[in-house]
Formats: sequence, structure tokens, C-alpha cells
Amino acid sequence: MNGLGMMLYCVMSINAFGFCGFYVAKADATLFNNRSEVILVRNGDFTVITMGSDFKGDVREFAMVVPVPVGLGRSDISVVDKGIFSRLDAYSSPRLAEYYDQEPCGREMNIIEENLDAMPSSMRVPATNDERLLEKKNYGVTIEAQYTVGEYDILLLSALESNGLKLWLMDNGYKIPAKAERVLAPYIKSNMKFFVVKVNLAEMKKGGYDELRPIQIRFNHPKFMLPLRLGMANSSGTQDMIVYAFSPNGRVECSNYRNVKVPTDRNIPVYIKNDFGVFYKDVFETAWQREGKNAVFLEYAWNVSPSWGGVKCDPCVGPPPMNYDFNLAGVGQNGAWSNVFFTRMHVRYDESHFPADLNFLSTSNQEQFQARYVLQNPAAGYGGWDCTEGQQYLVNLHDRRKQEMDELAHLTGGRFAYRLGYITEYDQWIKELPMEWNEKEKQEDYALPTKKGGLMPEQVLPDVSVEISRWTWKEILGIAMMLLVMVRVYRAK
Amino acid sequence: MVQINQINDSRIFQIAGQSIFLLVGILFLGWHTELPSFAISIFSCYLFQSWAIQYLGLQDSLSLRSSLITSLGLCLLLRVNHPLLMVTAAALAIGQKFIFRWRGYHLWNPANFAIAILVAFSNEAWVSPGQWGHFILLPLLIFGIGTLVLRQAKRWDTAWVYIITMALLSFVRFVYYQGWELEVWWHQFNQGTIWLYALFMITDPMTSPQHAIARRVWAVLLGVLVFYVQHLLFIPTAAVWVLFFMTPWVPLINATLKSTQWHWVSNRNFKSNTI
Repeated sequence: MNGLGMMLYCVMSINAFGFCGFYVAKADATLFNNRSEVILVRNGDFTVITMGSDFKGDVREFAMVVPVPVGLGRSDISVVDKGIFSRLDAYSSPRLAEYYDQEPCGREMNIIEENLDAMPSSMRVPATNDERLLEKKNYGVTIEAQYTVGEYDILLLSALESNGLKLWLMDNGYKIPAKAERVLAPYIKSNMKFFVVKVNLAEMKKGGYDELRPIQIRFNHPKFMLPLRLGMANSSGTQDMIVYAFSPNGRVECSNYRNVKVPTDRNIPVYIKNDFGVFYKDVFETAWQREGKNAVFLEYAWNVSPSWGGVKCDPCVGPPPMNYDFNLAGVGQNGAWSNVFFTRMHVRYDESHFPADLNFLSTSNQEQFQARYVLQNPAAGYGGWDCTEGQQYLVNLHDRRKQEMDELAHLTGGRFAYRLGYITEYDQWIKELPMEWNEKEKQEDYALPTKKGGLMPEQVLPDVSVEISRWTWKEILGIAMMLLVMVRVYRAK
Repeated sequence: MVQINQINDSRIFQIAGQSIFLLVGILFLGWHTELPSFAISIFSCYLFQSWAIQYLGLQDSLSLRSSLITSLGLCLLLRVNHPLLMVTAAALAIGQKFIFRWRGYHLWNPANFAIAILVAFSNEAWVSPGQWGHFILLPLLIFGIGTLVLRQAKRWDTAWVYIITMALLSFVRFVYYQGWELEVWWHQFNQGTIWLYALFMITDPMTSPQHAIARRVWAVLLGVLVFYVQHLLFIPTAAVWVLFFMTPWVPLINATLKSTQWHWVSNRNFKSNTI
């Protein structure tokens, strides 16, 4: 086998149960998967994992090796329509809400809300490898089962030691990165099986699929985790993973890394409208850097039970998942759920910041969350700006836009382009500029990242997210109450 | 105004240590949104404790410090969907202290009791083991250990024996047996919740054996059980459950192995300072 390149990329898994998928490609492919998607469904010990693949290449050159905690029967493995990923993504991705100011001088209220789809993630296509069933030699590798599911040929292997498994894979046409052996060993020691997935070209042709569909597995095991480490064996850079999780209790969170919410409900300059995707990428990058590059980010959390009466999103960027999607994802496969809670997490990981696999925990946390950014469009000025309210409106608009620019600088760490003149765009209609403007700053300079507010990306400091100005009166009252009790207790005789 | 009994009362140091942990959470980890539930926890523990000592006619207002420790423990570990649920937590924690006693000893650490009951039986409360992250831990440890050393409670041995037990087990299983890198092992310890339990929960003098040797054996036992439940039964909140099922045995150990009973305030002989 001439060079089989291996794209290692972790889909998910579990220590005694590792679901880390490697995508194994022939020909030292320079494929770069830096983003993957996984759906987790968890109820008690019952887990369903759906792995979206991003393989972009010749399907004959693809194979995936996935460690699993327990042996899987034929009925535990299925192939699902990949539309589920794009629908969940569309529903839960960070969103932009747009509002319009009221006309200040004599036109009626005209508020339109528009929802712009943020950044639907592109699906990944798993690919394949050519057929080669392998007999058992002295590798210590046993083929425990063998299935054809949809367009995939699946082998279930168990191994005695990592070197044997490595040799087996190599002798059977997979080129393994040097580091893979070291990474495989702990999973073997945890009694995991490995399942090797290849594409069955004949089945694929018969089914008329032009892309590889996600593979889904289900099992009962107490461990709830994704084995990131396997996926890092041949990648030195960072990889992104979006985890969509369903649980009947509440939010799913990571139990061994910190869970952080991405910034939300921020007013941003209107010119970001057409570049929202780029903007959010910068926001995420900045937040990831500020939080020390080792946090798991929450992007969405919502009760999506069909029977639950509340709104399913605000604003919705995609239709909420319904029974059809639940069935696809595996919700309710082990009995009816009274409630369905949906969580979307975004992890950007690399070897040095994520030394251990991700462990998850299904909590009772029912707080809803969405990453939402707000555009506030100025009034069109149909009624002119000359009335007193109009003049005041323009002054406020100027100040508001200054805040929006500050917010932009803070959110993106100076990564996103500034637009000169955004703050002063409407100043020409102000008859009398407030005195303090001239004293304080030249507006044109204000927006230059090098002069104010803009940080160079590498200088982004850990966010001391004190931001007391954002605290609500309840929080301030809470602090006061706590201090009061503490003082009284301290003085107790 | 620091008086003699305040210096001698190790609870003051524990309160300081826990407050620092809490302050770090509020300032650096975005816990300020939880402030209403923190305030309710602290206030209602204070209230319940005052009522209880008044009702029982105890002249021990210093025990209010114990209730503050309990409420800080709740703030640090328990997360709830609605702040008012903290009133229930406080009632469970403080109430259980006065109801379940055996020969002057508590059967459960009050905060841990409330956490276990609420997490197990309500669908509104949970524990978040990953809430501390990593970069923040070093300064916390320094404060935490400082607190312990200052505590005069002579309970630092429990914490260290516990931590060392966990470290050894984890090293043997993950590094030696499974072959993970040392970073994986370090990552296990670099977690706030483990240290929080080690420094503030299992060292609780009221619910750990009085006898020095027994106390160390006790800490080893807890370490082994927590490790087993967490890494072999895969329950991330292991410490809560292990402590819940183990502390009721402490009075029995104390009754068997004679040692002087614990008193919070040294050099003073309060009638009822075991509350």
C-alpha cells in the first residue's frame, strides 16, 4: 500500500469507550478536517451517538476507525440522513436579530424584526477505502463481527495490544501516524472494541448516494464522553467540534473542562450584517483565547419538547427540531421522553490544551441560552431630522454607535474590520454639535483600532469578566445581603 | 475588632477560605448571575440557624459561623434552576443538623446532605464539576492551603491523605496501567471540585473521626471510594455520594476509638459549641 495518509479526527467517545474516529485516507492526503459535528443523545445510561463526517475526497480512499466501549450488534448501528445536522445547525447557530428605529419626526412606528441565518455549518462527508478483509494473524486482533450497513462495511475488532492493532491496520492498508500507537494503547487497555468503517462502493452506487451519510451507534454504558485524544494524533493544529446534545433533564455540560457561554445579547454595528459569519468567527476566536483556550463553549440551550408551550427560540433562525428529527437523532429510542432539552456546545481543541478526553454530564439545568447579536438600524429620516426629537435622536445615535464600536472591539479583540465614519455618519444633520464631543475626541480617529479600543489579537488578555456595569440590581442586592450577613456573623459573640 | 475567641475559632479561617473561592468564581468565572441564589443561601442558613438556637434555648450565637460555612459550601457546589430553591437547601442543611444527631455528633456534613438530597430527588438542582477550569486553580490552591494551615483545626492530614490517595490511584490506573501521558493525570487533579472537597468538605471536624490514625485511614477509604465511583462507575459527582453514605459511620468510629471530642473554639469551654 503506497502511502495511506491518515486523517485522524476524533468524533467522539469514551475511554472504555472511545468513539474517536480516525478518518483514514489513502495517498497521504492533505485533507484538513478542522471541524466535526456530533449528536449525543443521553437518557440514563443509554447513549446514541451520531457522527457527522467532513471527509472531502475520493470515497474509495476513506476509512474510519472508531473505538467503542461495548460490542455492537447489527441493530446498534445505523446510517441516518445527514440533513439532521444541517437542520440542528440552522436551528441553533448564533443569530443576528435586526431592529429598526422609530422615525423621530412624525412617522409612525415601524419596527421590523428580521432574522438572519448565521453560519450553517457545512456537513462533512465521510469517505472510504477499498475493500480488503483481513484474516487474523498474530496481531492479537480479532474480527468480532462484520456488517454491511447502508453504504458502509463495518468490522468490529478487538485488540490485545496497540502494536498489534497498529500493525494490523498498516498491513491492511492504512497508514498510521507515528503517534497513533501511543494513543491507541489507553483505549485498548480500557477494553474497547474498534470498529473500522469503509465504504462499500457497490452499495453506495445502488443507493444512489453521492455523499457519505452519518453513522449512528447506540449502546448502554455509564460512561458519557468523547475521545478527543485519538483525533489529535496526527494534527498539531486546532480542531473544532460542534456537539448537539439531547437529554430529558436539562443542559448537557462538560464535567472536566470549564463550560463558558459565548457572549450574547450584544448590540453591534449594522455594517456587520453581511459579514456576520466572519464576525462570529472572530467573536469565538477572541472568547476562546480569553478563556485560556481550554473551555467548552455553550452556544445554545433550549427546551425543545414538542409538548412544552414556550417559544422555541427568539428569534428563530431555523425551525425547531420536531419529532422527525428526534427520531433520527435517537431521542426516545429507549422509551418515551417527557421532556427534550437541547444543548449545542462548541469546542476548539488542541493537544496542549485538552490533555484528557471530554467527559459529559447531563444536568438539571434548564436555563435557556442563545448566542444572539442585535443590529439596530437608524430611522430612515422620512420626516426629516429638524424637529427637537430628531436632533436629540441623532445625538443619541452618535453615542449609541460609539458604544457599538466599543462592543465590537471588545467582542472581536480588534480582529474585525472597523469602519471609519460609522459613528459620525449622521452627524451632518445635527445642527449644533454637543460641546463635549469636540473636547473629548476626534470622531474619525475613534474608530481606528490602533488608536483606541483595538487590541492586537495576540494581546487579548484573559477576560476579567467583572464588567460590573452589566450586573443587574438583583446581583448587586445579593452582594450587599451577603456582606451584611457576613459582618453580623463575624461580630457574633 | 478581633477578639481572642475569633482568632482561636478556626471557622473564621474556613469562612475566609471559602469566601475567596466564591469571590474568584464571581469575579473571574462569571458566577455573578448566581448572586441572588448565593444571597438567599447565606441569608436563609443564617435565619434557620438563629431560629434553631433560639427555639432550643442555646446560648451559642457563635454557631452562626457554622451556618455561614454551610451556606458558603452550598454556594460553591450547588447549582439550582431557581434561587428560591436555596431556601429548601438551607432548611435541609441546617434542619438535619438538629434532627439527626448521635452522642453530640452530626451524621452528615450539612451542605453535603442538602446537595445530595436535592440533586437526587429534585429535578431542579445539580452539581457542576467542571465549573472551575484550570488556569484559575493555582491561586485558589495557595489560598486554600493557606486557610488549612491557618485553621488550627488539625485536620490538614485528612486533606493531604485524601489527595495523595487519589493521586496515587489515578497515576496507577491512568498513567501506569492505561498508558496515558502525565498531562492526563495532572488534568484530573487540576480540578477545583476535587480540591474543594478535600479542603473544605471531608476535613469537616464534625463529620470526620477524632482519632488521628482512624482519621487517616478514613481519608484513604474516602479516596479509594471516590476514585472507584468516579472512574470505574463513571459518576462525575462521586464525592457527593461517597461522603453522603460514609459520614454516618463516623460517630460509631468515634464511640469505638476514644479521643477527645471536637470543639470549634479552642481554650474556651462553651456548653454547646458542637452545633
